[in-house]
Amino acid sequence: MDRVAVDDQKAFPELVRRFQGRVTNLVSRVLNDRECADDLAQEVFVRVFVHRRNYRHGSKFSTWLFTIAANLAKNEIRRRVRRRNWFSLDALEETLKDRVIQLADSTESRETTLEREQLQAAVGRAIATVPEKYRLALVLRDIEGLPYEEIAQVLGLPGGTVRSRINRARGMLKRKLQPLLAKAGDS
Amino acid sequence: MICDRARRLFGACWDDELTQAERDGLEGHLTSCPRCRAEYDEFSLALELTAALPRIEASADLMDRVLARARRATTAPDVVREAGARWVPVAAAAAGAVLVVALVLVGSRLQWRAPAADQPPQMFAIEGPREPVLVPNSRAMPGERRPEAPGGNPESLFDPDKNVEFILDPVKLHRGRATVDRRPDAEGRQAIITF
Repeated sequence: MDRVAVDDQKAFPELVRRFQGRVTNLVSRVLNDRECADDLAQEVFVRVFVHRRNYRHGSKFSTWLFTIAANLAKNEIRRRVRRRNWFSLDALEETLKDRVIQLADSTESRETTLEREQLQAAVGRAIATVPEKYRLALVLRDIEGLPYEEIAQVLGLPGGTVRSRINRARGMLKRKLQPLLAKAGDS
Repeated sequence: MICDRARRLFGACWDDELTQAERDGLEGHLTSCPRCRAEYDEFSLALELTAALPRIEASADLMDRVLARARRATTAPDVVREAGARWVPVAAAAAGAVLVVALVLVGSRLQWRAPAADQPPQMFAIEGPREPVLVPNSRAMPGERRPEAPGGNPESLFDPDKNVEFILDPVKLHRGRATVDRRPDAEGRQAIITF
């Protein structure tokens, strides 16, 4: 990032290459919308570039990057919430564009693959129905695996609030997934 | 350990943040309470499924799109230029506009005063004392009479036999609006153009 700040021509593409996967995954999981996630990820990196000189050297770059991504994702969620019924399950079903990119296990039967993909899609939808303030914390913790302290910095919240939000989000997610869990537990 | 307390520890247990004593207490409770055991199994399965979600990769053209937009962003300055630097070209343009108007006025007056056939053409050869004539509205005091234009066009504000002097006041720009600088020290910064 230091090299990007001093306009090193090669540094910025390298930085995008290194973090594009994490940023895309984060915003995809928060929004459950792959195409929008691409646009948002692009916006995240453009903002990093435009504000490269505002980056404070003492802080971790990924924290700064995730803060930008989280803010943009929050704005997008709020924009969507203003549009009626966007987050109803039916609407999500219709707008689900989450094309899961995962190399299928060649030994896996077609039926199993389908079941697995359906389960993943259902988990993705369930996450998307968790209220925004809990969802971001949940994705940062349980998908991106960020430590609590970093999540607190990204979201600009005290550590205790972050812990309580993540606990509540996990409880909500468990309740939403309950009908699927029995099935998944059997298989 | 009671069920309520045990369930509050699920999250910390998943994050591996329990003390040894808490862990022992929770494990003991889970072996003796099937409902909490089932709850914990569901809780951990939900988080396992979440953590096992496949990574969504960035689209192939993301890099190109980002770099293209970054290039465009480079061409646009991300800081607002100083206000002081902005008024200079505007003031110059304003002064230029006044100058053009003045030239047009003087030119039309000379055309209007076409010389007689027996007299040689007289362009800009203005004789007589150099007495300044004020720009309309700029210096006339209340009750003061302006000198009447001798002969010719009664509408004219200028005496064709005298030099015409234009005094350009310094212009101050505020939020894109130009106002004449009326401060006492502004007089010294006036520009005077004589025709």
